[in-house]
Amino acid sequence: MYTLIVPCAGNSSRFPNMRPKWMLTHPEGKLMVEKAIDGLSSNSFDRTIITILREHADKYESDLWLKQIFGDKVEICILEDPTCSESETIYKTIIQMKVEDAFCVKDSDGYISVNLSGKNFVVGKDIRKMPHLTNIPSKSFVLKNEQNILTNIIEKSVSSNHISIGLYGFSDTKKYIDKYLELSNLISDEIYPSHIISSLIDEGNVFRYLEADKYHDWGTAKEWRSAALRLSTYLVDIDGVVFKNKGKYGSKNWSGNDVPLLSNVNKLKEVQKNGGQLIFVTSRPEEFRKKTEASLNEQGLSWHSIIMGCFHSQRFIINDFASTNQYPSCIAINITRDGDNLENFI
Amino acid sequence: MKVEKLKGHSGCEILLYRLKDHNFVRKISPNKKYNERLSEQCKKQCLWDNNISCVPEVIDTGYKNGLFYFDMEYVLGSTLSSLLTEDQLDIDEVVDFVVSHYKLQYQEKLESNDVKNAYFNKIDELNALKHKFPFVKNLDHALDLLINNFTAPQYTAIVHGDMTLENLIKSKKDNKIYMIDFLDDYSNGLYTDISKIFQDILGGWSFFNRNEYVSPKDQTNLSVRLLDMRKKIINEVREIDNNERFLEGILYLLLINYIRIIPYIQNNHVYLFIDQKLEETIKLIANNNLTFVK
Repeated sequence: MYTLIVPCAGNSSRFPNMRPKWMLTHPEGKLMVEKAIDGLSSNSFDRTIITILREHADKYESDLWLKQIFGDKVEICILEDPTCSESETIYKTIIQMKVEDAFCVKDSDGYISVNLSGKNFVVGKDIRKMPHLTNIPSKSFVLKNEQNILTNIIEKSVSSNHISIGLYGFSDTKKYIDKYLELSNLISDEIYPSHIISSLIDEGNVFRYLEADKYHDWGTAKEWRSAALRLSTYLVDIDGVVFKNKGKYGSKNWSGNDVPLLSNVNKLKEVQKNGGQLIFVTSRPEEFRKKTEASLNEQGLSWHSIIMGCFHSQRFIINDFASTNQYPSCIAINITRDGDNLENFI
Repeated sequence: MKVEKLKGHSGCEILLYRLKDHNFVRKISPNKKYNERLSEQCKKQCLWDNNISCVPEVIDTGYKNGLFYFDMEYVLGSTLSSLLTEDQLDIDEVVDFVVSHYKLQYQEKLESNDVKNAYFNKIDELNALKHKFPFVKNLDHALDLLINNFTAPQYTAIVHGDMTLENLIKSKKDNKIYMIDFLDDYSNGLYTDISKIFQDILGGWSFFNRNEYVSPKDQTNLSVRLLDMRKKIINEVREIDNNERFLEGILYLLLINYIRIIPYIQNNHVYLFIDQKLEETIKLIANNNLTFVK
């Protein structure tokens, strides 16, 4: 029996004035918790358990949301009271849901793509390859040897180039329980899974380091917001922004060749590569759709949609803002006609 | 019983077993032909006894499917090469270890013509193979130097045989340095082990990825530490061994070490690496300078 436990019973203190962080909506439409386990789809688990708080179920219908998303594929463990730590949440989940044998714990606030192997492991990343990673001192640091066997794991003290990114495997529930109880009886401060692993290593248990293929960290509201902003939607005019401006009449009209504004095109491609969504808006009539699509394709651009036949006039974007999609939730950029300088504004 | 496969460079299979609350490592011969060599290595490990270095205790030996194996204590820790790469090792600790090891060997050394003969026999053996590797540009020059200019060391000592920084583990449990992967050495010469250390701290062998080409990253941190180690080791060894030709002897042994690797190379980038090391060593011999690469 191999079980995946996703603890979602924290108080989300780093996401103030919002619903529990794991219930936040990712720009692609899924909840954070769905995205959090998406990257593990290549690995098979006999059971997947998401642990939530009674308080969140009552206030936000979080159990209903999970049933609507996952159906019978996921079991929901509802804890009546908040816990003091993630390791306690894991412990209570094991007891309440009668988890046996090996299990794996995945934090809800990050996306990890990895092929798991073995049962005792810590998934991590080399921070030297992650120049945009923030809040580094809050991570746990993996000390490992050339065999990728952990010699230690240290919580919140910068001590190596490799961090744990919130996915751990334990070969034996009994060992976890015994170690958790031992530490929690002796130590009054918060006990993290890394402390349990560290102590198990000291007793001779072998934990492997597995390097993640991909990792997105959403540990704080700032990181979540920053990830979301990369997936912004861009409504882009075509004539005068993507191609040199022309109109219906004259020697240079919509029937002729579209001359790209190369710097702008490159900026839009970069936006797209980083996850941004492009919607082109244009005054060109519907009859020019195929020709316009061919010209955009030729520049290596793709799009979510193209809205033809818009008024040749001012354009407004109207969007709501809230703590989960903060002000400003829309931005307008005016560039001069054929000004090939979009990079100065985005 | 749970088993993990460990990586090694010798061709032997290395398995980590967990039996209840006890770990041990099994090293298994890759083929019957290698049985005797592995058995000799096991004996060397069993008999190793000094107060400078530790070795994993051999627990059991035997044969399975005709292949010799031995079981030994599992030492959780990291190799010195790995710790140096990750900036997690005080170089003075390595210097102390290497110098103390050499000092002990020096104190217990014995004069022997067998050592000289072993070196020259090895050089002849390597020279006979050179036609197979015409693409190693500096091989001819290196062998010419060895045949014509090499003054073979005349002392024998008790040696590890392959004392690279990859074969030295700093134990997490007691912070001591453990030797692993002993090798039967053709010469048992006094300079065998220290020349292997220089193969790493001068040549960078243990820090080089032998399996795939990885474009060089910023290695300045490591280069500076290796340079400091070379200087310190040379200065301290000179206080023990006042042989004026010590440095020269090490450089010639480095040439032998590098050439001995060539027949086992499987990747083109390793040939290029060894060729480059031969070229650098030849230049150092010309300058009699062991501290600086260029």
